[in-house]
Amino acid sequence: MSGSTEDCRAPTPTDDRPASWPGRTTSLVCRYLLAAVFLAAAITKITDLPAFKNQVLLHSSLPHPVGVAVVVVLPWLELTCGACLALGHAVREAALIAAVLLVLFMVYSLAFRTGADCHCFFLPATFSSGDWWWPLARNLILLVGSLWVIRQRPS
Amino acid sequence: MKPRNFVHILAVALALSGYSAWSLAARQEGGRGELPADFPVATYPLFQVPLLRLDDARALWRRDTTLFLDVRAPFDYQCGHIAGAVNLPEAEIDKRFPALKDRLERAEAVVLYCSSPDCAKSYWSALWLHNKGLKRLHIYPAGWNEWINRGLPSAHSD
Repeated sequence: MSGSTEDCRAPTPTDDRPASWPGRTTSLVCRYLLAAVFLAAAITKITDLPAFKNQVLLHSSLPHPVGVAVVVVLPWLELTCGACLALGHAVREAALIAAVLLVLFMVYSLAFRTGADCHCFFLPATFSSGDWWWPLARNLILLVGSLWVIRQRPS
Repeated sequence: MKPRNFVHILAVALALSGYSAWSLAARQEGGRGELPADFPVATYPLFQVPLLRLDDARALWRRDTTLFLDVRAPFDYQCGHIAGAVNLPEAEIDKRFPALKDRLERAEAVVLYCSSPDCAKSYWSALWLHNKGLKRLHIYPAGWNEWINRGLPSAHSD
């Protein structure tokens, strides 16, 4: 008996073609856009944690324990994902986590229809206290970008 | 995708979260910030609740520790309210209060408003909340009409 059974199997069809340059470019743009947004959101929260805490605990409709968990973990998760996307380490994994976060944000926006300030992106409250659909639309655009990054084959 | 990478990302985020937990816990031990002594411009004599002018209300609105309570009817609230305000209709205050109690107690300032100075709902609501043991209550008598007429941030629900 020589050789293993694996030698006799037909090779599994894998797509080894390199990604096309428009695809790579779009993926890169999406990646850096996501990284910039997540880093900005994280740094805004981390540099003013008490304000973020009050915003979540007083003005969101989340149950208190969930709110506390969000306050403690979310800024750092955003920072880690943003850093990974910016530095090119574990990009698809970070993009997947970002996508999950964006879906959760969208569910929240839909459930509570709130346009209240989220303490993101260095903007004062007046900038983000508009219509309830704006965070939803913004997160949808970012979600499409993150899905593009996830589906892109590593070069 | 490698599961190991997910573990790395989550582990780093959780490790860094320790800083947030420590920072917020240390701040809580240090006590809550007091509002400036010159904030109230007048008080409602019955139970000494400060009455706010527009500038005072706006200054408090900018603070994230302030909770604005709209005591008008839900329909009025849906048509338009001060951005970030929560609806606690005066007619349903006893029914809706339990759900809001935690948030009201955590707020460093609670500002009640109605449509105009002619509307007594904010006074009645403030008295009711005062009797429930809530402190740091403020009334913004000029209310929604003045706020929206000055073009200040507002929101509406569908």
